[in-house]
Amino acid sequence: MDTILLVGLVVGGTALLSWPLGHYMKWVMDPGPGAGPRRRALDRAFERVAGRLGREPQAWKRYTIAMLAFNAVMFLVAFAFMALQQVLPLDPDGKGAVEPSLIFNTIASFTSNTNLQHYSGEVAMSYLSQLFSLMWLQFVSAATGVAVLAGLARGLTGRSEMGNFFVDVQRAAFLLLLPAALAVATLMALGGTPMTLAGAAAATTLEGTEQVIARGPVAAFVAIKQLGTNGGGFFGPNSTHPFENPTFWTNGLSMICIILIPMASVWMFGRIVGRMRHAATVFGVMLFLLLAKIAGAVYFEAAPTQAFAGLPAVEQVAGNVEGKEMRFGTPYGSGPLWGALTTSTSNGSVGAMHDSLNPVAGLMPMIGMWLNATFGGVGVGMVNMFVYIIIAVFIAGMMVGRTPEYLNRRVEAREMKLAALAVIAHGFFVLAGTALFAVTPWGVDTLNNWGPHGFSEILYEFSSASANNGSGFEGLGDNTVPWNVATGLVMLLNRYVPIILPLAIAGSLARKRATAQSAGTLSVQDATFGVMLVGTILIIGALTFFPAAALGPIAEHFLYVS
Amino acid sequence: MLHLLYLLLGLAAFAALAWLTIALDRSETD
Repeated sequence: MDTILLVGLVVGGTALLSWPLGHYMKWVMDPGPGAGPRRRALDRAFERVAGRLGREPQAWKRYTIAMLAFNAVMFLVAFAFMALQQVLPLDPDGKGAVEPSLIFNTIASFTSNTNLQHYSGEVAMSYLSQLFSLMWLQFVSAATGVAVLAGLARGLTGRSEMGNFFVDVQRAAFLLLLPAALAVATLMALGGTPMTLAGAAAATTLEGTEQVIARGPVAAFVAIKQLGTNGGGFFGPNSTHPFENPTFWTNGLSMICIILIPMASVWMFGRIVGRMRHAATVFGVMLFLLLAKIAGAVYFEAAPTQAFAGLPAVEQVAGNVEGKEMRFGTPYGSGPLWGALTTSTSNGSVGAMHDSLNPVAGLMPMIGMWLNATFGGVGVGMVNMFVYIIIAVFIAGMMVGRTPEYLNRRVEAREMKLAALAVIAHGFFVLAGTALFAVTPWGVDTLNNWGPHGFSEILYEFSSASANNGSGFEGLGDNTVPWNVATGLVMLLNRYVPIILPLAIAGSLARKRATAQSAGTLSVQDATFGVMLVGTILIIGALTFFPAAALGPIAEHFLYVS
Repeated sequence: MLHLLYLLLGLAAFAALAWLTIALDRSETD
């Protein structure tokens, strides 16, 4: 009962909050000609900052190249800061130099909004690296996602120009993410999260030994970590660390922040394309799949862990409590709930040890990353869903003998090929990477568990990298050159390929003549289409990933059952 | 030296993605 109440409050409450936020995001990202003088003045300021680059309207290719160029500069600047942290200021604890392949992995991770972490922040990173490499990237990478969705939506309205990326990214950063992060950071600080530039504290324990307690500007970091579906923790243990997530209330606030902007992104999309009933259908599909994953995770986590089986002194009466933070209350509500939320939204922060989840409960976060569109990342979750919509429209059109059309434009062979490529790219990066590391010392030598669980650890790591999620199953010694290079490349490539291809589809659709709505037009805003969309997502997901799931978590489940 | 190699690896990935964008645009207009 406690668990159902918690799920209802967090998911239902956030769904309600997402409605006004979606309205605000439309005002921020696509004010339109009817915007008031103050709003227009803000855009003029953004255009002045961007200079000549901010004044030109961009068709899909120029918009995409601008996004890539901006992100490449982000990568370069953040790389330089981290590579030089040992000679730069704001390093009161003398953290020293970072190993080059780890810098590559970390900067690729934060540039791509993934935040996969092969390091512990409190051990390896100076405050300057945390703030000016990592936290800055958390803002601009999330702003990139919102900008891309706004550009895509404008393209789908038939405008040949998608807007201007350099203005869009400033709109998202300064009018959405920065104010929201300031409010959440204040609440986190009030809740007990540290916010200081002082070095680590030294304390004397009751036993008389000296203890060094890491701290820093944590509240600011945690706020954008959650709001921007970044997920990278200030400390290694992420949101299980008492300084990143001190109480039940900060835990609830964190979970709301994880899904708030991804939910609102759907409404923003609906408002820009002028189809709120279509947005409601898509929102319903995402919500249904999210709740199914939460229900699966909670149900399978209610069984005691097999890790304690045969230990006479351990009596498990509250489900699987291994790897859970008991201070957050109900053990199999907060852990699996957070796990499903953080992997459905490409956030990746963790509130429990995912390696300790029961096998099928651990499968649910993987499904979240494989589908990667049940709210998904800030902005890009809806972009991923757009790919599934194009495929569903095409298949449904073929099935019922209606012209495949999306928002009054015909979906033809070119759009289908591009959508298929986007889906295949994700499956390729996850499965090819897993296969390579499962049969070579690059992966095998870094395992701490054997059999199906060890396979799951490799599968999870590549799923997390490819989905730009960033959560870790852990149990893996992943700070090695092969892991750093392979996952770094996967994060970079599969961040941008699933952005480039949908923008190309929108560009292609925008060039077509609008067709009039008729009785033969396939509706994309009723329950029938919703069911079709759910079926398309599940069939594509199952065909791509079920064999790998059978070798990992499902095999492990049956080993335990037997 | 290793730092430079890893930096170039990242920038090469961005260059490949820009090439993909241009190739897709050309295939559309052909």
